[in-house]
Amino acid sequence: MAALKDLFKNPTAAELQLTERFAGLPENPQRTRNFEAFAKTGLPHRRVEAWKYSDLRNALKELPAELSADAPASAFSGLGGVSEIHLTDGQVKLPKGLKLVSDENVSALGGAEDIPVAALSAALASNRQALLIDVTESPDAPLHIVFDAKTASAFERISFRIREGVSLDVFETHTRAGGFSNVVIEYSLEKGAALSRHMYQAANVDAVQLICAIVHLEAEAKLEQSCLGFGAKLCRNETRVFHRGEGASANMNAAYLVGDGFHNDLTSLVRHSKGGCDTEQLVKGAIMDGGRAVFQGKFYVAKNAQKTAAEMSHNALILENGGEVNAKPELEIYADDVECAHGNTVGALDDDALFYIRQRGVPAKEARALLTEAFIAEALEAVPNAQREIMKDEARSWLTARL
Amino acid sequence: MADGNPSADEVKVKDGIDQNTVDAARALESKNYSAGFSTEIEQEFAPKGLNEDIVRFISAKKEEPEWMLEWRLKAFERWLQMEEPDWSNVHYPPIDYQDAYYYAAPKKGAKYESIDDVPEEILETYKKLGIPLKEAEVLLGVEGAADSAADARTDTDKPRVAVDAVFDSVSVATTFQKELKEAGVIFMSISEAIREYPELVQKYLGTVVPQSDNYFATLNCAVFSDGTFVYVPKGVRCPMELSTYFRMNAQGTGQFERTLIIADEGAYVSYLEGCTAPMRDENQLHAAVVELVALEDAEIKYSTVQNWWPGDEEGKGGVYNFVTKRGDCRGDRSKISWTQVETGSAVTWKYPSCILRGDDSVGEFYSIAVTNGRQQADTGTKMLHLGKRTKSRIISKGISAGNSDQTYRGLVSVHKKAEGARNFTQCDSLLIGDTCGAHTVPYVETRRADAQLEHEATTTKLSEDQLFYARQRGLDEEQAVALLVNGFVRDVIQQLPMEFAVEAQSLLQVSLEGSVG
Repeated sequence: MAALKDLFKNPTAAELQLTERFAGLPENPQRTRNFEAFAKTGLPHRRVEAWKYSDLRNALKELPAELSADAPASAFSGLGGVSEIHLTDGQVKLPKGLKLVSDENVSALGGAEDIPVAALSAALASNRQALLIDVTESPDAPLHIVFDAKTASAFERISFRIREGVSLDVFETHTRAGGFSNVVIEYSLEKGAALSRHMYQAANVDAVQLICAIVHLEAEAKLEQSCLGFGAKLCRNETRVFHRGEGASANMNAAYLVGDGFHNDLTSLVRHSKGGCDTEQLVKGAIMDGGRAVFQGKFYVAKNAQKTAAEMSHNALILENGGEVNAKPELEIYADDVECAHGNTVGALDDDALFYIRQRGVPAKEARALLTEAFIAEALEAVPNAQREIMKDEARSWLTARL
Repeated sequence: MADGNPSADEVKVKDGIDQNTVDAARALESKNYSAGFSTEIEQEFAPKGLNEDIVRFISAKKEEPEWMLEWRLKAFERWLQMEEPDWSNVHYPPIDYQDAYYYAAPKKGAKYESIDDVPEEILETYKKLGIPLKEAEVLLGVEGAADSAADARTDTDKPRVAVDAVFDSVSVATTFQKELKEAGVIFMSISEAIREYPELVQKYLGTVVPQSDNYFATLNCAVFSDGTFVYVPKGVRCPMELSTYFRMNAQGTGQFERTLIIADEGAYVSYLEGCTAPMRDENQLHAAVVELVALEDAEIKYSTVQNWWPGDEEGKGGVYNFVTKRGDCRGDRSKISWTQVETGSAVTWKYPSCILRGDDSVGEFYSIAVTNGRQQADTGTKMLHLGKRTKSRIISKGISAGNSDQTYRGLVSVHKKAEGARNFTQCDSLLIGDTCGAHTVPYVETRRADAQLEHEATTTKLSEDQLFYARQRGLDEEQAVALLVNGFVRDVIQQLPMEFAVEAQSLLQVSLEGSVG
């Protein structure tokens, strides 16, 4: 314990509590390595470039003692034709085509040093054995994974291996009442595999919520991802995509609505390591007074990743003065025959459009809600109909309550 | 390339990249560096190293008043407690701050009465830099020559340029002082200004870039040797372009110049800065600070052609260019515009910025940066919108070739009270060959609903109307785009009296076709 504590430079109260938690777990060399990787950075703060706008150390001074309220309802629950799994259940029931495998090496987390909070989750994950799910054939129904741990601090980790040519459709619900949650999800797609992943995130205003997904794409694998998020006291939803084979493609969109006291951080890193890979990213959001939205996107194109086509776009609406947007759309390019573009706009609703709608007899409040909903809905177009309607309903009621 | 440079010729470029662009970048390879000679002249040095005594030595050499010395010492004390920043995307071996001279000057003092008194070596230097004789006389501050040159220039209706020439640590000459004085403009070396206009210097020095702003700026505060001071009084439009020519000559010296430009209410000034250095095997440090203050309705246009020695193809030698440049639009409706053409330096770390404090003030940043060989550049701008209806525009164009790495890093920040702020940013990068890198790191921070911020990195999104207009006049699309992006830059650069303006101009012919984003 003493030795573990010494891994940190001036540990904070929260870091000491995390160390204590780790010391109480059965020994496992891979988990130890993950914890050491976390300890190098500790809880990242604003002086760590990747966390410049989201000061986790400040938001999480101590681990919360208990959860006082109920979590927001899981939006996708109750929809038919979906196999739902709760990570908190002792036994995870999987549909046909999916198999839980036990693999000693599954606790290792590649590149853990780069992702300190994912390493922390991997070190502390509550399930004894990290969950590795082998997807050998495309299941009949989409999977709905609910991350709604009822403990004050929750650390969860789940990994999928999607075999060659297999497709998997996943809905993820991330809801929290408060406290601290830290989830890491890995998807490894073999050649020609496909993953469609759609997320819904909502939390109470005192929750600190970290979600980190790591997606590996082999040749011609396809990722289709969208997200609707409302933030938390501090919510960071991070996606890392690695194009590891030629012709892989990723389409990753997100919409966010951030109200007073909420902080929503969408961070992504897409590494293009092989030629001919495509990435498209569209992020749209709206912010109220007292809300804070962060968008950090980075496209990395390695020297030999010629013919990469990558486009990133972030558009934000500040609905009231005092809403804050911090954006950092970044490109790092080492190949000369590529097409990469990024755009970033921040502004207000279009007065002409507002005027037009009001002229049709729609009251001002409703007109603003309608336009904002339409604005963010563009980022949700890839979501299957039923779930998209739910997301849009959630967005609408959120906007109507606030505008 | 007829004489054969097979390795360079083998670089495969992407279809659609204009051959002129490739040639223009290639022309900047270190072996073509024309300003790389050094001048043999007897020089006086401060002892090597950096300590309080050196700071006192520099201050004494400059015959500075007590307050100035105290200011320097305070900065030095602060510097000792600071750490060198490492967040930028550049890599270089640690700098030994004790292994450099902080002061070097030609032995025989600063000003010369007649052209015969000017040491032949210095004459040769300016000749070799390609400055025509008449201008060289002007540049060297020979009394009388300035006037005759002025007459000559008036006759030909060409714009005239007054020059302050800084040779290592001292200003050797400032031209056109008489004529400028008639207009009320103060244009002199900063060491003279500290002696002659202490109250003005004291009022503005360090108010834009505070003493403890950053590691290199603080170092500069302690040891700055010379630089330029400009004050344009109320309502005066400066009758000519002002220019400083920085020449780093002595071996093992750092150059730390300090520029302070103040445009009082309703004044206008256009200022040009040029830099070259000899080819040396060791790395030389250049840590300058430039402060601009624009009061109500004033406008300052600041242009730089930076051509410090970039080091050879293997990355040996070259100047470390760690510069802090910042303009403060202090008054309402003021405007500051930065234009830079960056082709030199081994490592560049530079972000000319605007603080848009006055209501309706305007900030502009136009940059063309070309890196080659082993050069590394991390450069961009910051636009801080504090006042109402402030506007800023950023146009940045980076070209990387050889084994170089280039990063655009820019911040646009809109504060809570900046009602109706507006920004447009466009940055394009072009890679020539697959051994170099181009990176874009824009930061956008805003808290206003009525602010409008746009960042683009594609060439097709220029104003359609303007493009249409230009094309209607018979320009093809590429020419029209080049015209729109570069119109302003070209305008400024053509007025540069220096030979390397030709280089800058040829760069402006580069095409954006095939840019990667």
